[in-house]
Amino acid sequence: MSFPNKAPSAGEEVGTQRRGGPKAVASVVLLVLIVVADLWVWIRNPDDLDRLLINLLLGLSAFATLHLRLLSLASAGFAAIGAYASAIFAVKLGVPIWLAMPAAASVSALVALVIGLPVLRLKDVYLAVATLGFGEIVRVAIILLPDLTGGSTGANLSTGFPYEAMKQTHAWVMALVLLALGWILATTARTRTGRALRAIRENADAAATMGIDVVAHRLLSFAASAFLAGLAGAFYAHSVGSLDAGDFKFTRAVDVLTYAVLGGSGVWFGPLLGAGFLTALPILLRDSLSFLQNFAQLPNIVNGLALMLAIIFMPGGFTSMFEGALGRRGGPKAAGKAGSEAGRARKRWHSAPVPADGLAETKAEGNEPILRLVEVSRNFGGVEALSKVGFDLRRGSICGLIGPNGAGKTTLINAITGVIPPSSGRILFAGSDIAGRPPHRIARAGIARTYQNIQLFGEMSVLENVVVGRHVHIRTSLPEAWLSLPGQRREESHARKEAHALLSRLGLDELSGARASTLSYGDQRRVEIARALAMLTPEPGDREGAARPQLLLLDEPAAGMNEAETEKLGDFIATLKTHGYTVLVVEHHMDLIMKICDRIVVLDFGRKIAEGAPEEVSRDPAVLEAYLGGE
Amino acid sequence: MKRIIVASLAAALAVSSAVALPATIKIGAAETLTGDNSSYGISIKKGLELALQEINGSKFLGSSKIDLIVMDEKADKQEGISVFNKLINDEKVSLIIGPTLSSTAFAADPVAQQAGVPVLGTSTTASGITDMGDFIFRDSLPQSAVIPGTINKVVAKYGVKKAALLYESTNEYSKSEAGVFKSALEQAGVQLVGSESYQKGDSDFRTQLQKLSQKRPDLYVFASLIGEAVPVLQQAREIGITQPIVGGNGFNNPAVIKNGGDAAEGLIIGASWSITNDDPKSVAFVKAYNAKYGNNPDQFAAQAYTGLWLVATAIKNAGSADRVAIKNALGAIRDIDTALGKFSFDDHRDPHHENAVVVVKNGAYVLFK
Amino acid sequence: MDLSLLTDPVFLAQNIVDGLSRGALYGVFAMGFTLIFGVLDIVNLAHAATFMWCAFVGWLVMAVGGLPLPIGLVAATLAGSLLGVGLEFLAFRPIRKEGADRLSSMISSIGASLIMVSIAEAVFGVSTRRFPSKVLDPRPFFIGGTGGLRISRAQILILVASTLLMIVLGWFIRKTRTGKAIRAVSASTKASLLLGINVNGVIVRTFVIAGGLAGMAGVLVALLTNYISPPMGSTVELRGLAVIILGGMGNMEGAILAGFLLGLVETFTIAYVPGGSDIKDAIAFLVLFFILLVKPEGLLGKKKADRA
Repeated sequence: MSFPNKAPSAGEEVGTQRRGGPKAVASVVLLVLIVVADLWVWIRNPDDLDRLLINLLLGLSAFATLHLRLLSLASAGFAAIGAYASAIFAVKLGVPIWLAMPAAASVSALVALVIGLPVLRLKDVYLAVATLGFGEIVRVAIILLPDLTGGSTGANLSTGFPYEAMKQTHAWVMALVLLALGWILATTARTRTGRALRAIRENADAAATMGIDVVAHRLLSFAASAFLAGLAGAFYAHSVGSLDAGDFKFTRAVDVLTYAVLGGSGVWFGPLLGAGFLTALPILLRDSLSFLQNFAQLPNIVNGLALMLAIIFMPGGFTSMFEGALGRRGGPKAAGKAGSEAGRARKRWHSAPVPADGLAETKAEGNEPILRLVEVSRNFGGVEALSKVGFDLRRGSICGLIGPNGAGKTTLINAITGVIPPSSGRILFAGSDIAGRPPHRIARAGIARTYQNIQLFGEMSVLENVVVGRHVHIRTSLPEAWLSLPGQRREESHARKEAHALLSRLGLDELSGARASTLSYGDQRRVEIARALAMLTPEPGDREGAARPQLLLLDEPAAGMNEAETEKLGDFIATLKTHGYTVLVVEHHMDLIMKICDRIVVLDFGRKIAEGAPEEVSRDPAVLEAYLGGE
Repeated sequence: MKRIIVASLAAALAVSSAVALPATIKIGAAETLTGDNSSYGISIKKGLELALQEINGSKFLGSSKIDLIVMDEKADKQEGISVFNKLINDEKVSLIIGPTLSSTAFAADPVAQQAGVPVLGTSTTASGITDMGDFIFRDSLPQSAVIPGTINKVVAKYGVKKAALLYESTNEYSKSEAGVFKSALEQAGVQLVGSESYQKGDSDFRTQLQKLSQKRPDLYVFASLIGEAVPVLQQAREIGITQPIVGGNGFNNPAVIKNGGDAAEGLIIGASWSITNDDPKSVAFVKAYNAKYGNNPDQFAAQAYTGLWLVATAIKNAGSADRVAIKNALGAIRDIDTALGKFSFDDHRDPHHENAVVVVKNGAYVLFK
Repeated sequence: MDLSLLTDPVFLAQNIVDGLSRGALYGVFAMGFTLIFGVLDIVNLAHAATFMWCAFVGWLVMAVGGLPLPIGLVAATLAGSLLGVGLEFLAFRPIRKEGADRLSSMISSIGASLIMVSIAEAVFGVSTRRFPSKVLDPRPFFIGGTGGLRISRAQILILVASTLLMIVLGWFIRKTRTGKAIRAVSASTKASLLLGINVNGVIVRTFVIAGGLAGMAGVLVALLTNYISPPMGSTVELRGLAVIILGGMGNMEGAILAGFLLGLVETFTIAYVPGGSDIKDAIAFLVLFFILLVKPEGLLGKKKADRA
């Protein structure tokens, strides 16, 4: 029901097939038209540049949240805070405006950090209404603080303010600020942070199990959005020279959301296009329909019609067809490049095996249990999905987890990875209790997983999916990335090489440029394995990392694979063991389990009913009973 | 200061004898024609168009004609700035009438002031409007010029001791009107026993009225805009309020009588202009308005109608369509007969004219005595 | 100062009556809004415009045509259904075919709303229209003589209508064939297709019902507030949105109950909190804010884990 997962439905595939030539041309034409229209409007009437810049800033603000599928309507409230704060700083306290504006925007961001913690727990439309409520509260606060804000009479900044001097220069400075912000967003998109944000956009749960701190990313994006809205508000205050609470009502917030949805929230320039379109259109309509003096509503009617037509023909936003065009252009090329690299990468994987250092040390500490479950239980509204399950997993072993449908196998994996924390019991990983820790911290401790229901980042390429797995290993900070320092680029290309190596290891390198959601079922499962391994594999030369315990949880990895594929997969899992990984595998293919596992744990109705070597378990009467009874 | 104005006026007049006015003189009007506040803008537009018809029809400016360009500023500050710029730079107007709301004026008027284009507001009543510069005029009386007189008359007649106030707190106009009412009541020695507000979009005022009536005041004062005026009146009567009611500017509208029916009986209004105004120019205006539009004008139409006539008069006096000349001639207007009565601009470019206190009796406004 | 008011039982009863009728206004408006939201996952921001147009239709029939209230209500309901279906075909279905998400349909409804409100402005102007007193006598009843509990015919009408609608629609959704089909579509469009339900037919019927509700609400609210004007929908919209979230998405009974709650909170804030009328909106939204933090699915909302 929630909209993030609804988008890639049947219609999406139709769109995929139609992507290409004419649409790409249409996108470029549209882009050029919007830019020309805005330039024309601006040349005709320089003061409209302010309006455009403010709306572009608001568009970026909407992007910061909507990109993460956070449906926030707080932009009007944050703009109001920025506007009044800047007015108070500049007019009442005499702070120079180039200082007052960023300071005011920071006030907005601070407020966002405070309200973000509780509010961001809410999902889409509930978040929308909570943030809308925030906007209303801000508006009432403005009216109730007349000493500070002028109350409902408003604050008039044009007196006692260096109005004329500012008007000459501020638009240019703001245009430069906007360019800088665009640069920041464009470069961020190519970094680990940008990738993490896209991963959260595609699938927040899977992102968390890749070690990405979803809460922090959401909170910071919310604060960034508030900063941008606050900056827009501050600029608005000094541009129009007077403020009242009516400037920041509910409809403004909806307008801002419209920029992002109409433009497309997948790419940073989408909301800019949306804002540019919706700023220029009413002005152009006003000027071209002005001869109809007695039908003042006509421009608004045409405006509404244009909005409807635009969204009907481009329901994914302006950039959706642009994305398609880019994807098509980039796809085969990227795949080709990947192919040429594949051979080298494969050689590299064999000749200088990256986890080899890890292997040696792991083997030295052989037999101690890496994972110890103690009386792990999980309740779902009175139903015990897991009941006091306990077993040990030795380092460097492969353990099978089997049981009839509904036995609690996936629940156990969810409990270990923190996706659904256990109601009681302890989960000791390498000696420390991880029960109840957030998923990203468990992932960072060295536990990776795949899913029974595939949870790839569907709109990202296969390669990107795997590079997301490298998230925890990339160290470059954002400012370094913004400056495009060589270290950052080296690290990025290194991460890509690692990802290619893993993909070729799993026979997927050919597909590295394809969108993950277009792959076959079996291929998608192997991409998940590659992604999980990417997270576990330490950096070459990272001795400390190599010594760290590493656990891979595979939830029905062979489901949807044919026999040949299943056999290959079995061989692959077996080689993981020789590389020092510990594996817990849930499977229904008993042949596979029997062939690769050192030990097997059997669950039935949430209880452990048997544990032991494969041949022991297969003779256990309780197990036979459970399976025969179950089927 | 005054001498300078007079001198420049004389200079302008001297020029006019030598150089004729251009064939068309462009005047811009930026008003709220769409959206929630457009009822004012539409009244204003009607008043302006009636005046335009009369000025051009009667060859008031000789062979010159006024070309009136009316634009919609949507009650939006940015749109107001944009429209002002367009009127000034593209249309090259000699003067701008408007904008409709004071909040828009605070944003847009500085644009004209900087460009040296005179502005005449016909509906902006907030304090500080004419402080924005020497090109900014208005013919709309600020509330402080109307309300105290009204309150004094009512207090004297009914011996009011305790009063209660209801106003809209989200609107700058009603909020400042409420402020003026408060201080006027205080000046008249009346105790304010209750003050309640409501917000834009509210449509049920019974709880506020009930709360006020619990304090047993002998006078109710309502500062509402036209949209809420009738429901406020009707709900007041509904909960059994029979004491005298003084309404703010929002109640000074023929629609209040038409839609309010019995509830409007006895309502007292202090207004800068009302339909009872018996100045010959006002009577002629009401007649012409009725002939053109088929209904009675409200105060906004009257002020706009007067506004364009003031502009035409200034152009004629200046003998020029030059912006500075018009500005100087406007500032020199003293004691001329208008639909608002004998009209002058004071030194601060604010209006000065008589105003009336009226009461609704048998479904019509009559003078309050 | 305001404490003395607390002890006045008539004033208290009055505030309950006024609060409930104020809340019924929000609830009646929100019913159709929440139905479209819950079933089709569309935030239909043209609902308020439909509501406004229907109030005008009622006004044309009763004030201009001089016909009695029941006919006016029926006419407004029919007009609402017609507009609802029109919106479905012009604004929503073209997008659904392309597989767009909720937000695209919301943007489309914003466009539709802009068109509808602008046309209303052009046709009717923005000056406020009202029903003449012959449609519904505006004089209230007093229980316990003058100074007693006051209740107007419009208040009785909206309270009775909202309670009846709540019961009838609750029954309709649970017990009838169409109701069950609507619930099936709301749970899963795909599964409904598999079950052989004509999904498009159900969607059109949903719009007929939701539009009809908007129509009825338009006349009822206009009677209570005596205010008919193009912006009338946008003023209720914000509270309507709050009410459907509070009541649980798609829950029409919840919408009415949440409306009552919001109405009572607002009225009591005005009545008993000093300076309350200035802060009532903030209080209402603060309450909403905290309820959401404690119960993220709304007061009466059910957790829809399977759809997350």
